Amino acid sequence: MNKNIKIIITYLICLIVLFTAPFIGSYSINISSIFNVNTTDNYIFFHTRLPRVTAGFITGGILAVSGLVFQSIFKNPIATPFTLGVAGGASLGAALYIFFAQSVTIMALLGQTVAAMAGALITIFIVFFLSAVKRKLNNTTLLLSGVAVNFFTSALIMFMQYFADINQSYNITRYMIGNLAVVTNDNILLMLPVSFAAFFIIYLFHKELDILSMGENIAAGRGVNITYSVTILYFTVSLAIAAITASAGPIGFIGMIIPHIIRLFISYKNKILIPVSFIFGGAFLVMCDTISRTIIAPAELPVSIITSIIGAPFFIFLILKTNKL
Amino acid sequence: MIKANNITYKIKNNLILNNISFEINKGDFTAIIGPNGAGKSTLANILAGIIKPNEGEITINNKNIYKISKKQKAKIISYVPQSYNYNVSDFTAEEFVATGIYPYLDYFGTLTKEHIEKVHYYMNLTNIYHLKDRHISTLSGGQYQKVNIAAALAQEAEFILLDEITSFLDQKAKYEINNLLLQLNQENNYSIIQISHDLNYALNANSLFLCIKNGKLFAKASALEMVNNNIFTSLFDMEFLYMKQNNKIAVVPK
Repeated sequence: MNKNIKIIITYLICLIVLFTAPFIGSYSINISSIFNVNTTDNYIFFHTRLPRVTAGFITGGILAVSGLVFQSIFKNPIATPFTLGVAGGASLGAALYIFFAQSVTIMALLGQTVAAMAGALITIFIVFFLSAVKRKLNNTTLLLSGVAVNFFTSALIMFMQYFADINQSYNITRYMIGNLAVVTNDNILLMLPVSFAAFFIIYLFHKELDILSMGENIAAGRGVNITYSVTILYFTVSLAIAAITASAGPIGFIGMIIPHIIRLFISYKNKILIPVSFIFGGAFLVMCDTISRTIIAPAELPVSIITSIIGAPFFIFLILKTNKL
Repeated sequence: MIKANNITYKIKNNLILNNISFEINKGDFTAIIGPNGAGKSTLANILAGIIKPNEGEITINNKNIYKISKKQKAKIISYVPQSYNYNVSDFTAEEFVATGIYPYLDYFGTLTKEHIEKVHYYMNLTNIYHLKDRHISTLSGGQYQKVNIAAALAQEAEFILLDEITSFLDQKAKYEINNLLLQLNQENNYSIIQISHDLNYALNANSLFLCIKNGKLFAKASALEMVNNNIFTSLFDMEFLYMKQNNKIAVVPK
């Protein structure tokens, strides 16, 4: 099939998902009354469902594109947005907040987001400076220091969970599962500009990512400024992931699987791969989130569970079906 | 002209290159030879501007290559690295050659019609145009190296530096690649610098030899001097025989 037709079909599927998702839920919305300001339908559509779909779309999009960037610069197919410890840092920040400051209940959610954001930012800088200590920043030192810091933060979280009471421990676990239900409208106002700026910057580096995926020696010969490119991409991806995980928690699997699906079926060229992964990743998370909102309605499942339950078998099916991998 | 001035490179306290100076002129066909571990590939990385020496500097056409941008550098010297792994993802030959255009791209990385024409021109010059749509991973070793050379040509740099690109090729592929490089030098005026273990080819192509031993410049000599002064013997610490037939010369271990 022609590549352009594949892209159009993918976009159409995504559009259908995005337009139907806000109408699906435990309260069924009547399309004709959503623009009537006095109705419940209007309130639910514009204040609950639409923000939720928006949050899902940008979260999924950024996760997919971030995974793609890390897979390219580390030439590692199992790299995810969380490989370098941003999510670990965010979780540690959230866990510290839950452990020490949970008594301030009114501020709980905002405080937890701020703490997670701080944890993520501190981790980003620690990983960067650890890898830059060796004078020459390269992909390997960045990957290794990121993985090491990730293990370290996990250990600290386990340490805290061991000494926390049941309630705190439960809250820490809830955060670490990753869930869109906790994303507030204020969080979305932060996530939107950060995500679109990140997407734009990553897109500008599509040519560098193509060449970097061929190996550092080739990239250096072509005149790619590797240190500069990797530094900009690292901070862009990490800050976007920090903004997203601080509110939603680490939502798994999307960042690893979506780039592979697009690479297999549409294109391995980053110029196409980046935008298509963003849109498909966003729509995929919205779809999973719609399922998580409805499957045990009126209660909700954390979306992370759905992404992995649907994603893992689907991904295995793809690997078995294709001989490209 | 490439000028290397007092290049010293060390890793911790190990001297990899020890105060090397030389010049390579425009249009030269140069072979950098020497025993394994002599520092040849390190020297190539330094010439290509990939690693920076602890002391000394490289100027190409009077430009210090560590003081200009990486893209500027890529426009005056292109580099084909040693390639024992074929892990160059799913790209087609044409897309791979097009990466040579990188230093000329604008911020959005748009390939113009002229760029594509340039890519096709260099693919024709290296006789790989018919492989245009083949994926890199499906090419033979010889075809892959031609694609590598075409990509380096697309950088439109005057100097081309190649690191042991024929080492894993069969006789015919080696012969084709070697002829291609000679043709690029003699007909298209490229300055070719090769790191090579193929002494016979370097001799018969009438290369200028830069001999590196233990991190030092051991000798700089013409092909004729290499044979007449028997420099190979002292360079590799072993005896060689020289055989001549039909204007060709072969050097073999005694």
